[in-house]
Amino acid sequence: MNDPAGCRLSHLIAAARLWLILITVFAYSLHPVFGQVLRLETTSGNTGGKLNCSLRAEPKTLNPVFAMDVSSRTVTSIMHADLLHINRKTDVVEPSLARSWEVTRGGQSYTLHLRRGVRFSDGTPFTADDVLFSFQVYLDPEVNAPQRDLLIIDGKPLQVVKVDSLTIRVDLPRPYAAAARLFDGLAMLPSHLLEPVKRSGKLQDAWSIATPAAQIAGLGPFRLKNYLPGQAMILERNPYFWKQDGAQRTLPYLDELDFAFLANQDAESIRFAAGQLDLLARLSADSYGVLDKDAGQKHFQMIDGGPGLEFDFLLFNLNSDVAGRLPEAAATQKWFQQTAFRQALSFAVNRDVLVNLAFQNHAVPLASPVTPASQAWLSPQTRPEKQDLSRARKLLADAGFQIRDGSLFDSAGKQVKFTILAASSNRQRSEIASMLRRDFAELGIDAQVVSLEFRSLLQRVTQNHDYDTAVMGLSAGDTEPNGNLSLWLSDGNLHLWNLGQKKPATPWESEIDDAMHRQMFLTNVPVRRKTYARVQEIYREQLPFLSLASPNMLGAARAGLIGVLPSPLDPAMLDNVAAFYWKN
Amino acid sequence: MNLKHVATIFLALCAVLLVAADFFATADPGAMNPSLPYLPPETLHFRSASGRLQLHPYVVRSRPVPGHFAAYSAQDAATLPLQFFVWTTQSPDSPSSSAQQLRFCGVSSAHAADSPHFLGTDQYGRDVWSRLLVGGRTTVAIGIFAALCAGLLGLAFGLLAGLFGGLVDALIMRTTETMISVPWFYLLLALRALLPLRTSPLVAVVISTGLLALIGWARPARILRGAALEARQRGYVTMARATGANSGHLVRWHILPDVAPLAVTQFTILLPQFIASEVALSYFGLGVDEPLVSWGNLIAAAQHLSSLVEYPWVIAPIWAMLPLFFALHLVTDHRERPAPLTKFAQRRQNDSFPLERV
Repeated sequence: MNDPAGCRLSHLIAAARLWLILITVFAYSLHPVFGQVLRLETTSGNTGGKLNCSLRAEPKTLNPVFAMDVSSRTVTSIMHADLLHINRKTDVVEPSLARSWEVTRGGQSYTLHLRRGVRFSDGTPFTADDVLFSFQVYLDPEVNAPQRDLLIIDGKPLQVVKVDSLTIRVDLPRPYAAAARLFDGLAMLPSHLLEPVKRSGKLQDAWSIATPAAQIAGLGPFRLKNYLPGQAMILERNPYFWKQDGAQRTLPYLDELDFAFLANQDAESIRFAAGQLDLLARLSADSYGVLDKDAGQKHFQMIDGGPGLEFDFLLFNLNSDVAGRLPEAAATQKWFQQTAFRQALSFAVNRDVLVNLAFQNHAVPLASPVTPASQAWLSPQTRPEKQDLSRARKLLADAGFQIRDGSLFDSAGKQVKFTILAASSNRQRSEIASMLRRDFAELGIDAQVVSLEFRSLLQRVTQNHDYDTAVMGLSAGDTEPNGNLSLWLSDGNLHLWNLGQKKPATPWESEIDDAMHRQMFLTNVPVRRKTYARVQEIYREQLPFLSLASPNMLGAARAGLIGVLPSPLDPAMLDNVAAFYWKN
Repeated sequence: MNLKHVATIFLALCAVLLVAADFFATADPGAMNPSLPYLPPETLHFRSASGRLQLHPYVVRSRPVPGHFAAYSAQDAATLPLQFFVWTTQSPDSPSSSAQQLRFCGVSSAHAADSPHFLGTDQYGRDVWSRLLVGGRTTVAIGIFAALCAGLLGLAFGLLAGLFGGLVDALIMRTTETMISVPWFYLLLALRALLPLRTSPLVAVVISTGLLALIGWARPARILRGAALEARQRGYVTMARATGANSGHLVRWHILPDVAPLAVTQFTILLPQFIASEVALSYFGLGVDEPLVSWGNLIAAAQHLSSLVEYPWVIAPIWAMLPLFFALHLVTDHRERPAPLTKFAQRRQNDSFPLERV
């Protein structure tokens, strides 16, 4: 019965078992391989190598909360990760830092389950506290993050509750159609580094581009290695990244990502053709044409990702504050305020020629600001109009306009003359303006192109409203209807044709406001689609601005670079950068 | 015949081509042809395919390859026989007001799209040769206008400073130094934003060239002041002054004739400088605006890599400016050497002898 030896053995076994469990638990939490990594279905690629990319300007900040410009957003989106992520190929929301989620209370509660074993790029574990802290930052009125508006639904901020160390619940004030998409691009911040900074009220100054790499940590595939002022920003592989390929190898494949700062596209193209850059994003049709001719010889692949979310348009000055203040603008506004006049101008535009000449066929003609990149929400009724001069002339004649000696006069006998503003720095927009002038001349309209430096153009359009028409471009924030919210809503800051409205100036703008507010809370997709189609229909009847064309997402990559996926959402061609690899 | 003569003849030829630009242009410079963007230059053929000499020279029009941008194939190319002294119709978009235009050379067909393109076409299928001529006229006119204004202003201030000296001289010279030290070009770039939006392109051009002139007078004024100072010291001027001649008389009969050759030289130096200024301003999109054509906005449209690499003919104005500036400088160089004495100068020189002997 009493067997001291056997007893000792069983004690030893029990102790060994305990140690084994402890070691396993420790290892499990130590390395992502033992944690809950996100495994991609892709076959495995080659590890190592570096990718030379470029940015048009130096990033202004490395703080994802305040990154607004393209360069900062590109870099921060690679250095950080979000809870849920929109698949750039399928446009569907997929797990990211949250491995799964449940929607309860009729779409009002989102319970997100975080991956276990995820670590920041400095090795600190990522937990629900970091999520909680991140939302505190984004929602804090004192921080005034640009993302705050997105997280306030129906006037109320969403509530974030920590359920346990790996579970978070997000409560919405009411069911919200695009709730899951809100999490995309919302970088999760390391509370261990930023909480003390936030407490001291200096979050805005944190993580400037001069911050040493050791003081910055993120959850993205790459982390900061070095910043060379005026020259380049170098990112290195994040060894703690939480994604793996099909062969269970931790991503990213590449060791280094270099971003050279090159001021213009010509400089980029020359460097690319010389082999000093491996990937070009946001190429213009001109540069694409030049590189395309050499593509076979010099071993690079051209990327035409089809239409993105950018749309170029002719803006009419319909601002209510013009009358009485700016007599010249008010005089031309009398014509623009007539729907028939705007429709006639739309019929006069030859969008096919415009796409062919200004974009060398790398664009699509548009009927509304909803581009084909938002295919799911594009109303089938809104097809781009073909040039129809006789219809345009008839519309004008019915509205009391007359042609005398080849010139158009309004019913009061005043000759129809106006200016088209275009930014002198943007060649394509200046070209579009010239082509519009030519098209309008067919109706006897004397339109004059005025090239202005971009900032003074912007000042006229957004501040003092002293202009007639302007050729501009905008890019929707998302493929779904909320991406254009600030354009559609009468009090939106991109409601460019009539800014600063306290209440809708016209019945149709009021109807658009209603529909846009309504669609936000419609969780039934077909009903929401129908509501948004109505908005597009109103746009088409009223034409407050003329949608012209949507340029394609163009790029070029060195042959042998695998995994590039052009996307209308940020960061253009680099979303999939974790899975990029060199073939040989 | 030396290089100077060649330069003079070349300049005269340019003058004829530019003055009669509409006549020598083969097409309406504003007429677009969306089906022929970036058509390469077409050569004149004098022999038919079988090798026989043709009565009318002709060009061969390549056909656009469908579905490709600016790609042309020689297959099924059409021949366009040329005729001289033909009447063509202008497009409604043309800056010219007349409906019919007599051309030195063209295609008799009424269809404007059939005009020959000796220097190819630009992005909109507009004829580069015609735009080069019409644009050159605008640019050179602006250059002459600005150089004249600046030259006259420079002469006036230079003479004032040189003649009166003292406070007037100091004031004018300090002003010129200020003008020279300010980076005016960058200020001019901001000018378009300050001009009223609805100024017609022509008025905008006149204002910006007027301003160019307003800035450009400083250097010639300094040089002419020196010449006036020197002239003032001459014996015959002292003698005239001693005999009671007033300032007006001195300037009209003694100093101006002395300074005039230098003033002309200054003008010829300013001319290429102002032509280049127009080109630079328009290059940045802030000089001559569409529908007016100028070398500056022609080059502006070609400022991208694609033009230099793929379509070098669209930068024709650069090729035109090189020999033009060269010729202008050659002629200027000649002018800077002492001119043979005119009757006036001879008389004045004779006048000065007795005094110098004293």
